[in-house]
Amino acid sequence: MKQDKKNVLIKILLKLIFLCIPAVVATAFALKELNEHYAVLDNNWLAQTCFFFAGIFIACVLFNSRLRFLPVTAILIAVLMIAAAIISNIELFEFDAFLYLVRFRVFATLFVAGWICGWGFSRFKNFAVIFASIIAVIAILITVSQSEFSFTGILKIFLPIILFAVYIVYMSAAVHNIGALSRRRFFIFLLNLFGIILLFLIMMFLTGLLMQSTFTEIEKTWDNKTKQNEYEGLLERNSDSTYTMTGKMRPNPAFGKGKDNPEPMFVAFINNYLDNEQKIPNPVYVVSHYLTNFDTFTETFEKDSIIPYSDLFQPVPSEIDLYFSQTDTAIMNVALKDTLTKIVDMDVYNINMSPKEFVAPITAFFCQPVAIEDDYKVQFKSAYRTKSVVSDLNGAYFVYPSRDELLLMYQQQRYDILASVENFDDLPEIFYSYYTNLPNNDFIDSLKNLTAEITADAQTPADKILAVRDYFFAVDEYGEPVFKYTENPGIPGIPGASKLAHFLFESHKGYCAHFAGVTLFMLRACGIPSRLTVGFATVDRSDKNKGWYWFYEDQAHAWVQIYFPKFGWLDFDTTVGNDNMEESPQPDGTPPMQINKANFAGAGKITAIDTINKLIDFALEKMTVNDNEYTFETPKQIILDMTATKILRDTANLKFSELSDGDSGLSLSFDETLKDIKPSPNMPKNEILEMIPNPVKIDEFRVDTEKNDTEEEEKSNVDNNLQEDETSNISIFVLCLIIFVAALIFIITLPFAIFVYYRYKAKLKNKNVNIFYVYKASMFLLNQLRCERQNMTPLQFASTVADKKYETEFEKFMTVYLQFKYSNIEITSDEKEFVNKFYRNFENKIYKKYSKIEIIKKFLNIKQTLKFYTNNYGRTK
Amino acid sequence: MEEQNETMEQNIQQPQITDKTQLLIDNIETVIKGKRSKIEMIVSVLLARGHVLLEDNPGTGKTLLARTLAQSIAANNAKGLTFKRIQFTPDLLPMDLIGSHIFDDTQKDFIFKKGPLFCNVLLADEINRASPKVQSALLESMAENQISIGDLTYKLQDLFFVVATQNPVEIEGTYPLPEAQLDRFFMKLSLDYVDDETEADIYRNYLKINENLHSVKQVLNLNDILQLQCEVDKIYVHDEIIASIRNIVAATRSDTGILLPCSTRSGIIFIKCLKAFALVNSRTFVIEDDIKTLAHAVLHHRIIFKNNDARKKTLNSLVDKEITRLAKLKINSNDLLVE
Repeated sequence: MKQDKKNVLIKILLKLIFLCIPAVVATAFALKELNEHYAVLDNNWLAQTCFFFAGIFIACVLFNSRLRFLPVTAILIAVLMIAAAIISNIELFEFDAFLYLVRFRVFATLFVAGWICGWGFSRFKNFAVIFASIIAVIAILITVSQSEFSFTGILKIFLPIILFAVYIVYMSAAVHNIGALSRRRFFIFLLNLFGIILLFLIMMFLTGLLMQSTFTEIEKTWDNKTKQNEYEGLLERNSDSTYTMTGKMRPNPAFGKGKDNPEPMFVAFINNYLDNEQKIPNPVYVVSHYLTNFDTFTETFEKDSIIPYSDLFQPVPSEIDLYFSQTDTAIMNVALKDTLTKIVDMDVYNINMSPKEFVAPITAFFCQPVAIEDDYKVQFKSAYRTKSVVSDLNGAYFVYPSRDELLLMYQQQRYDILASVENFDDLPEIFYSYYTNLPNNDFIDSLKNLTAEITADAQTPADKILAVRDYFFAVDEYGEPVFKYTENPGIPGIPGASKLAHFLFESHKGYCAHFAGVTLFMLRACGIPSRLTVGFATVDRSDKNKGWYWFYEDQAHAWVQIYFPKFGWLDFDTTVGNDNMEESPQPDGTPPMQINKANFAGAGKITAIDTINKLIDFALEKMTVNDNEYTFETPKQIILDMTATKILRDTANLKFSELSDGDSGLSLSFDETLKDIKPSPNMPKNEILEMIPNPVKIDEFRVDTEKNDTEEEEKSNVDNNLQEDETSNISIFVLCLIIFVAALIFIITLPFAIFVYYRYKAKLKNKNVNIFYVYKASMFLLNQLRCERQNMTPLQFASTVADKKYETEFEKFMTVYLQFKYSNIEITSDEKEFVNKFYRNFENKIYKKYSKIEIIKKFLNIKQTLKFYTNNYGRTK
Repeated sequence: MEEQNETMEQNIQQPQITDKTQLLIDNIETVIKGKRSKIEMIVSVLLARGHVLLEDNPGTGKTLLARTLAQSIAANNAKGLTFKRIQFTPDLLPMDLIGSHIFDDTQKDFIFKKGPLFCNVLLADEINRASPKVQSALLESMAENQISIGDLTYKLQDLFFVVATQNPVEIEGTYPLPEAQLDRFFMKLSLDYVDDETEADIYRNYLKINENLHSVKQVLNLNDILQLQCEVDKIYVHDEIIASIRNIVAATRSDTGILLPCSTRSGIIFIKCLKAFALVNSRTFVIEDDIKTLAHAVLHHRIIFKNNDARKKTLNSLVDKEITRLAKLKINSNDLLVE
């Protein structure tokens, strides 16, 4: 009975280790790939793998006993359905419930899938064939949705699958047929492989039928290597459904259809007016980053890993402490040297942009995340203030030819100023060559010719720029514009031909990437330093709220910036009017209150509380005074006046009495009187501190959440996890590899280890021989050499098999051993002597029959080792 | 020290005993070729004080074997053992076996005329041909070792060994023994055909064999057999062996392929047979090989199986399971010190 149970356990273990775990690993990879392509799965492949594993594990354990599949599975499905019904009936939060239901369904599906796999593996020899085919089908789905067909890509997916299929089919046959004839097993294995190929072909055919539409779509774009995602190249949707700007842009045949309802990205207040008295808003473009690298083969503009002159300020707003700022003084100092500049503030309220993403008008140097007023917390996710050095000459209005007289006037003024620049001789050589660099190919040559034609009459750089602009805005004899904006410019007739050339010389239709790309090359052909920029086009939509701008998904834009000595970088956009962009919906929301500028912000710890006068002794560690930041190595004591203070912890309001000593927090003061404190750059910190009134009136006090350390640690862990998400793939791979290698080593060395153990226990070198382990060692050695006991008794085995084959004295030993084992008679000293000498002779005789390599080979056979410990009674002999 | 002395004695005695059993077996083998293992089993039953049933096709040597065995230990003289043979037929009556009271003219009284049962070795040929009445008379006498007629009870010989044979073919007009009666036989053996080489050898030497048959010597006498039977009781059976027999018997009770499992009596008989078999194999202790060799002969005819498949496989797999358990078992694992 015990033997029976043990045998069942071993079988379960074998199936778990050799079939289920590889199956789970394969599923994990499949799920990981599927997650990248299907939104329902919610990018949680690790948890999903766990669900699947749970299913397969439980099923494998259960179905190795005599459980019936149908009733048990019916019960399981019933339970899952009841659970789903309960979840859908929870009326707490409608959407939460819906989300949970979706998650639960994913869980249930995977669990049941695992369940069925576990059942299949434990009951059917040939289930591996079906499983391998399913995995193959998933691989087809993945390749189809990947749509980037390359030989290595396909090989990368299918090679492991073929290897896996071979493995799982072989292992399945091996695990299910321990003890059966090996030749027959090989035949079964071949048969199964053939079955796999057949099933695979059938499934290929079926998926081909089902997914014909997808295939034809891919065929349409066969040479374009594009995804069907909207705004590919400019905006990228993250897993948490926020957006970030990609670092790439290429002229695709289709820009993606403009959505009917483009999503709002963020709302911003830009403090930039043409005339400060009249308050005519001057919407400057919002920059995300520069694309200074060009890949001629795919015509892709990319972020350069080295940005010259460190002129791109890219902080991560979510990583800066609230009300503290990050400033790039190098950029500021360079930019402020230019004339006709001013500092433009922008307040950004994120809606769908990632909180890590930073956008600001040209030449930003300052970023300060701020808290959002409670009333707007639902609408906006995060907010931050930016400061940029913006030239007076910059502005979206200057770009297009306008009929507005006022604007025309400004445009003329701007031209007059820029016309003063005659050449770029004063620019550093590296800078100039970097920004006028052109690739070498036929297209560029013909583009150069065209540019020379267009700018033949132009003298100054400003003239040349206008000539280029006019080229794109020219109209034909019927008054129709030559260049048209389209989001579906189509593809050139010859596959692989330059899309930019197609745009410039043939179709004259394109979107911002085409316009900006060609403009960039034309300007560079004229010797004007310029670069490609991506960000958002600012569109003035609302008359009511001057200075407030709404930025929608479809405003993601690419344009060119030109460098003028003394004036810095200026935006230059040649993209002809995009009707869609102007038709974007009018924003219905009202803008949030303008951000309260914290004139004083101090972080530190409460040291003492005066509850009567509502005063707090505060150890100040860090403070900002009117956007100037100071850190104190030793905390400075100041007194805070808390009479009219709003005390917050996270989002909850606290009472003054709830504060306690040792609480750390952030005190904020929006007091107007503090605005006058204008610390000069080199003033010592202590003097500035003295300029602040003591006690200082505090308007808001944000208490850091309790359990600071642990929570922060957790948070940082989570952050780390997020950051490590990319590296985790590699680490998981490495981990898998290590586990695999360890398992391999374990499997390889196991027979040796067992043998060495038995020999050690037999104490061969001692005078005290342990006859039991001598017996074990010799039996193990024989077993490993494919000389199995099978159903014979040891004595039978010794006399009829072992001694016939190896001519040892095994039978004699066995009689002594059996006498020792079962009788009450003492072993005589002669017999002891015999036992003591027996094993060495035995081993020597056996080793004589085989070469060392043969023996090692036979010891590598783990299956034979398993046979030593498992028995199949009643099987064929 | 006493124990040592005992074992010493055993060691000294053993060769003699071995000689005796080997002598007997060798003697039988002069006539019955290539069936040493079966002969060993039959001798085991003899030593275990049991009875044996031989079942096989005609011409496999059943009767010959029984006769040779009987002649080896019996001689129709005063010193030797008596051997009787009865050919069972449907019209045989119990009286023909046990004998009857007949009127003696000289004494003017009924005297009991003893039947063939009053012998030491009885060959009951084709036992299934006789009517159940006769069969039960025989079986009762086998079980009780005595015969009751009217008020009188006659004791049979101290050594009373029945070798019954039956034919599995031509069952028309026969009375097959029910399982409950088969239970009385310690072993049910089938002799099987000999292997090719032995068969050729038999054909070559049939004259000599025939000669041997007529001049089978009596090699053991009554005292020898009784002494051997006492020796059997001294054979050592390890607890694990007993546990294995219990396991096998218990397993037959829980197996779904078995309708009538083994009884406790079967287990006792099994152990008796094992001891005797160990002695026949010149051992003073029982090993797992004995179980493997005897299990089928001792247990199979006591079990009623559900179907043919179970009849073929079940018992073997149960025994194999126990053999594996014993083979892996670590008993008495002390180190051996070599002086």
